[in-house]
Amino acid sequence: MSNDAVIDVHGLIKSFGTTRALDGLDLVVERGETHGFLGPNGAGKTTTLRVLLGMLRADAGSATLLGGDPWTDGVALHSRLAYVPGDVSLWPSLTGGETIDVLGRLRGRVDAARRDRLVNAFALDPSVKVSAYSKGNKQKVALVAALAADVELYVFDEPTDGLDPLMSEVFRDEVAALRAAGRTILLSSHVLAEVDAVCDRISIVRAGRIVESGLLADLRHLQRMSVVAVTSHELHGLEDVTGLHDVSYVDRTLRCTVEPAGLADLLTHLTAAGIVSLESRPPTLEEMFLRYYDQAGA
Amino acid sequence: MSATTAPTRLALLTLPAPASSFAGTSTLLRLALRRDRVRIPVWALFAALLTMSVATSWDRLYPTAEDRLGLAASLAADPTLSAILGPLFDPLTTGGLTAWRSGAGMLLTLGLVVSFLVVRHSRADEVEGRGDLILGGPVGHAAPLAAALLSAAALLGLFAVVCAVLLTAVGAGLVGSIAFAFTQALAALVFAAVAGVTAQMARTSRGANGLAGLVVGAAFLITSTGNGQEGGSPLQWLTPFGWAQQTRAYADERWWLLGLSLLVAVGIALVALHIAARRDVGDGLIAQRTGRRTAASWITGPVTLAWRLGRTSLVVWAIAFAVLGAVEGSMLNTSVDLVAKNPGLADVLRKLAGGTTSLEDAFLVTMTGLFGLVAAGYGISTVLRLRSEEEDGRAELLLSGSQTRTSWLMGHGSVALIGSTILLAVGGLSLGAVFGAPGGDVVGQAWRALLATLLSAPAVWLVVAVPLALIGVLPRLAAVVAWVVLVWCVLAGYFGVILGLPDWLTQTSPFGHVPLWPAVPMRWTPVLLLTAATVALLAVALTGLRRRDVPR
Repeated sequence: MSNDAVIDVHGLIKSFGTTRALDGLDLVVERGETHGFLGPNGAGKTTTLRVLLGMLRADAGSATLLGGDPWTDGVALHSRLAYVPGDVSLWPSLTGGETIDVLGRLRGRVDAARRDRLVNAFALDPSVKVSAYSKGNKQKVALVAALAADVELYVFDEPTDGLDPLMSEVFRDEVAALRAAGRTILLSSHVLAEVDAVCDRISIVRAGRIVESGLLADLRHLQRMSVVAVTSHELHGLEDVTGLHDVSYVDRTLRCTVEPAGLADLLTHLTAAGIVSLESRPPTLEEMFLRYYDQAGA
Repeated sequence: MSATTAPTRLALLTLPAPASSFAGTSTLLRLALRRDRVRIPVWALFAALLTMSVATSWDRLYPTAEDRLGLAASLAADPTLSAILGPLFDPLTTGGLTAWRSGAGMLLTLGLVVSFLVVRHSRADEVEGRGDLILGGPVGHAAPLAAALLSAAALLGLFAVVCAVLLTAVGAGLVGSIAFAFTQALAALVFAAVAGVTAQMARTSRGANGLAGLVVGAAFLITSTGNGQEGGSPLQWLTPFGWAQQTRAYADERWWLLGLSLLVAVGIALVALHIAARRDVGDGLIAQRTGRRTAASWITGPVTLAWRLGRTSLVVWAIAFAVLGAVEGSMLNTSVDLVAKNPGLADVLRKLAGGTTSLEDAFLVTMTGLFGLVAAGYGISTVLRLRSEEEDGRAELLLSGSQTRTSWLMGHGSVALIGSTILLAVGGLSLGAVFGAPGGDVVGQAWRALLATLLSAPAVWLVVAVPLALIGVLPRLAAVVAWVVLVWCVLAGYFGVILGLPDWLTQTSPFGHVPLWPAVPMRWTPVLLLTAATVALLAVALTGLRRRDVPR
């Protein structure tokens, strides 16, 4: 593994009573990458983050965060990262602005200009008491507090939960800006469009283990493409093409998905039959995700 | 939790703590003081002012040295009062009398206040998920608890300084006032530290508060039992209540006992911080149990659900009432014997109880009065579950189903009203049974005490109906007003005479109208009026709730 890994986790195991939440989980996040951490509810995403933040002590395995041990050096490491927990709960009697400042001061410094810019960007009224905020506004408070920090690593657990599409977009823009500035971001989510939009690399977790990890682009290449083609002549010999799935051929219109290995062969057949039109689309993250779960579940 | 994980859990505590476990404490302390900028000064000033008003009452109640020596003599003969209030070391000075009269009650109050304060800023934050937000920053795992303990110390420090100044100002003597105020504060600090430990044990703030309250109550009972024995007992020295009393403020102070309280408080606090620095966030030393996979078939709606939710709490309170009743019953036995030998005190007590001729009955009605106040406290806290259900959004979950608002209100309402009545019955039966045991009349005395105790039920219902009615019409005021009403009932009932409050004022407490049967002949009018007032408040609650927004 690279020495420049910001997060380096190997064989992590954590049990709560008889429930094994993490079952030999590996996760590597390189410096400067925006890493999507995917998985359904209960797969172990939040537990992994809480081990990485030194809130839980792993039963076995190793976890390195920014080159240190998250449990023993937690405090020093945390001044180099910002975290938005999945289940944001704030102090009802404080205003949103007070909360942002308190959280910033815990970090030691508040960049007022950066904070004010974010408060505006997220259209947050900081003078309102937290008890009067909606779920989305509470989420904004936590996001502004984290994004206002100038740190090496940003960890977000379901960050756009409760945000409207407009605000989710603002969040994506902010993440893009952090990425452009060379910051490292770990984004745990099950909003796949969001991960698709901002992440370079993803890891998919299932039942406490990583089932797939890699560059989003590479993973896509390993996956089936969706193809829709119209031919001028009748198409023959499709059964000879390997890795063809979900085939329907009606009125000289072919709809199917094809594995990368079969793509060239399919194109040869299509060309022979005379291509009138051809659309091909790489798989959406959603399709990939569902496929991993179907495979793993089967 | 399986058996194999228990040793691991404890073994973790022997590991070294992470580096800088206390980082961020000062910011968190400021946050705690900001959140409680009203709560902390109000409690500190309330406690100090109450002590001062007790101090100003002696020149009026017992102006001469003869009066005061008479009081001391009658006390010597009454183990019940000495047990509850502690020994009276100097009956001649204002300070000596004040320290005796308000010491135990004040420590009980302060002990609970700071215990709940510590839990509020440690475990409660963690349960609500705010812990993640804080500990995700550069903050040590022990810092939230350290800040919680320091804010409790701040409250107690403020109380001690103000109390010492006020007592000195009303002529209680500087040195004694300092000794009294600070010994109370330091003894209460021990309970704050204990709450720090219970917050590491329980996974819920309710559990941590309950355990801490249990320790405060048990400490009070242990010292009371010691105080109640002739010639004293080692039990007097076992708890912070004893240390505070034995400091002998205003009467040749034992200053080293202040040091003992401080030492024990710091020691226990260090244990709590040691655990906090090492355990998983969200975890507790008491293992989490798993529960049923499906709901019991009797839980069919909001009413039965409320009983399911309130079950554990009611059982715990019932056990507490049984213990309290047994302690009171055994005190009653000793008292009746001894007071019979002291005609002067016997007279006073008969007058207090409304001119009865039977000493037993006079004691019985004095003691059963306490049950009513405590049961009302249970009832209020149960009714206020409605408010937390509303504020946390659980009410919407229930009301969005095919449930009426009436059934939602009457769920927790019925637990509060019926539950508090059950508590009265348990306390009365236990008191009577223990009292009757030596004379061989268990059933007869249990029956009498049960009826005497149940006579305060209508007053309890009325106090409990106050927050119910407010939840109907002014929900945001429900909690504050309910607790103020209860505190008022305690003040009117127990401090009314000593504070020189006029009768018409003390009679505003529903408990002032409870028939003192069997000490005096039964009167049904107040019972019926209190019950009617309760029904009226319930009607207000139900009509109001149907008309207002939920949640509000």
